[in-house]
Amino acid sequence: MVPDILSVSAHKILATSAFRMALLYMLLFSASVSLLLGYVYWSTVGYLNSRTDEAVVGELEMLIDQYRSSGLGSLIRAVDSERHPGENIYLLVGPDGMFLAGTLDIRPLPSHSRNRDNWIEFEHRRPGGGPAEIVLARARATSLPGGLHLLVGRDVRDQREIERLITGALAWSLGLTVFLGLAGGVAVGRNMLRRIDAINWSIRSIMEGDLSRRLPTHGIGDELDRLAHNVNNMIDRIESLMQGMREVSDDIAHDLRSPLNRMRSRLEIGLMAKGEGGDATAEQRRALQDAIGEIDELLRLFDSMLSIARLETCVEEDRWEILDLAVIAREVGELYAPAAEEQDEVLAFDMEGPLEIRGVRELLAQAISNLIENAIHYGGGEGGSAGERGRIEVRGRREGEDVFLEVRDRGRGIPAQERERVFDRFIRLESSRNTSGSGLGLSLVRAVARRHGGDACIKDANPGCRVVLRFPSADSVVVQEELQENDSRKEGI
Amino acid sequence: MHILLIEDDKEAAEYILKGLRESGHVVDHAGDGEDGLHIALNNSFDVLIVDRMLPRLDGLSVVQRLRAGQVSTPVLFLSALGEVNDRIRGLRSGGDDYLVKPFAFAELQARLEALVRRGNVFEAVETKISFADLEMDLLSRTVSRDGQNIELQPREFRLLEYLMRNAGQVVTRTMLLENVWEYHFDPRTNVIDVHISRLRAKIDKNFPTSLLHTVRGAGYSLRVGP
Repeated sequence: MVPDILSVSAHKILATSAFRMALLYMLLFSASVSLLLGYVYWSTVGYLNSRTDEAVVGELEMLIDQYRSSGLGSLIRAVDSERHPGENIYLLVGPDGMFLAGTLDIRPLPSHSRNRDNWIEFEHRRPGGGPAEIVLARARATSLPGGLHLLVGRDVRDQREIERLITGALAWSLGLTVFLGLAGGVAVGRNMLRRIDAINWSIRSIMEGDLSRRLPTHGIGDELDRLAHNVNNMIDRIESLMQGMREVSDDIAHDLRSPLNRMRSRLEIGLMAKGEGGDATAEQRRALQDAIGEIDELLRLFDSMLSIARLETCVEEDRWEILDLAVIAREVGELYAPAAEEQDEVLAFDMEGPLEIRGVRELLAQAISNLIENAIHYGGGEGGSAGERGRIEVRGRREGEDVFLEVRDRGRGIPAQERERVFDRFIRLESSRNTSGSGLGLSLVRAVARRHGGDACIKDANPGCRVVLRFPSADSVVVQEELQENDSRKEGI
Repeated sequence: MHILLIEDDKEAAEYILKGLRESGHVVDHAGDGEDGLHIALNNSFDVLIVDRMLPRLDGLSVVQRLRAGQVSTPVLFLSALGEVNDRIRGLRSGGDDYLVKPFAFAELQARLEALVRRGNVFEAVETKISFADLEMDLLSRTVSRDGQNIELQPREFRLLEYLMRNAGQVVTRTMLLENVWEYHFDPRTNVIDVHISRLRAKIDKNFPTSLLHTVRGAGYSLRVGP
């Protein structure tokens, strides 16, 4: 498990923008370090090389002049009397390839290593030097009139050593730059990620309705702190707006319901009236009862609207508990089973084990009851084989971190293009225009699902349709942690 | 019954007063929370009807102070707020029942009677309850009528138990939904009626007299006779 978590978080760190910026910066920095070191390399090694080459060329020219002006004997003398036998390398070869003079004797001259400028580089064992002292020589050979070949060179071991040191230093510093860049990127990325994760986590729980939560700040006043601070201010405003909205909706509930309420009361008093002036006639009574019925319908509609509005904005969470959705669904099913049977329909349950989620029983029960009512009303057996006709299936299952509950009917179904729209308020399909219903049932279902951190959608069942509710399971990590937080908050109070 | 109504809305108060007085109850009325608290503390009532939103002192506080003053008279909250949390808060502060406005008068009356009766019932550990020739054993969870055993589903058992505990009185569909199923929402389908008719088929069908009656426009009642 542990390496799994590590690899996941490592993957997350590598995906952070902080890390990517560090990477980009590291690349740029490496490039400039390479340029700088390249210049150092070029200016030192190049300088040393060109000085060696100049010295060799100068010596060669001097010896050629010697030969031209004073003849072979003078040249041989000059070669033999050379000042630095250790560093300098000379070889004079006669027309027949005979050794005439010099500090070393290699014949034939290593022609294969000749390069375009007549420069040759070769290794040779210094005669009479230390035990097996290998000299790395860089030399230039030229042909003199009279079939002579003259070679002048230098021992360049030191230069090569410096070259090697400088390239080594270059490689090391590049490697170090890359390593430090990556390590810095990971460190910055992880630090960033930790803070961003904390912010995201808070934002998520705020989105789930806990408007009392605020983003964490570290009090160091950096850009993240300022961001968190501004977001917190924004949430303050949202909270006060929400509060305002709740107050307004409470007021509406109170203000608009009160007159309806009074109207209803008067009608009921009218119904109660006895004695004075005689009882109301049967017809009058029916009219009064019908009016009361209409008012009740209006009030119910209004209540549904308010409930949905509250679900979407309300932040109260004090009654959240761990619940088994399977049990709730079965209980609601048991309430509706006889009513379904009256309509020649059957409620069939298929629940895979306990489906624990965190929520409010009343709300979940109401959502499920809306779905079952819809299935009973609109799912009336039209399609399917005789055995399936009128069969309403309520299925629950768990998949990974999510709990799914679906209610499937065998009715006419809902056209694909309408499946999203039916969740909107007051949307009723043409086919159900003339049956009773407010068009708020599914809106409430979705509001309940979303309030619980899930969602609702409609899928094809052919025939009929499936309404699928998804909820995060109670033991999914975030929920668990939030719950603990809630608990400790409650204990605090 | 001697009832105190604490309600600031004049129309609503008039409606409740008229209805209750027509049903033969004695009703006092207070127009705000402080008056209501004062009257309730200094008189004895069978039941209190308290509105949640009151001027001067809100309904929750009135009941909290009454309970703090050792007044245990049953309280029915009236409220325009129907949310789950509001209901819970109302009951937590010492209320015994919660009725959301608007309500049918029959609903109010049935609930008041259930409250008063509940208050009067001696809270002994009962193992058996009976009504007429109907007997219910709460331990073995069996029901018999006139000595004949009646098979009931667990929920039907609870339904009958609630009806028997409120025998002779009207229980509304909402009361059944709240007390037997523990739901506070309002199903659009006549689910309760279907459950009642199934129960009726089991306890009344093969017997000469019916016990489970439908009260038109109100609910149901377990009683002997018409």
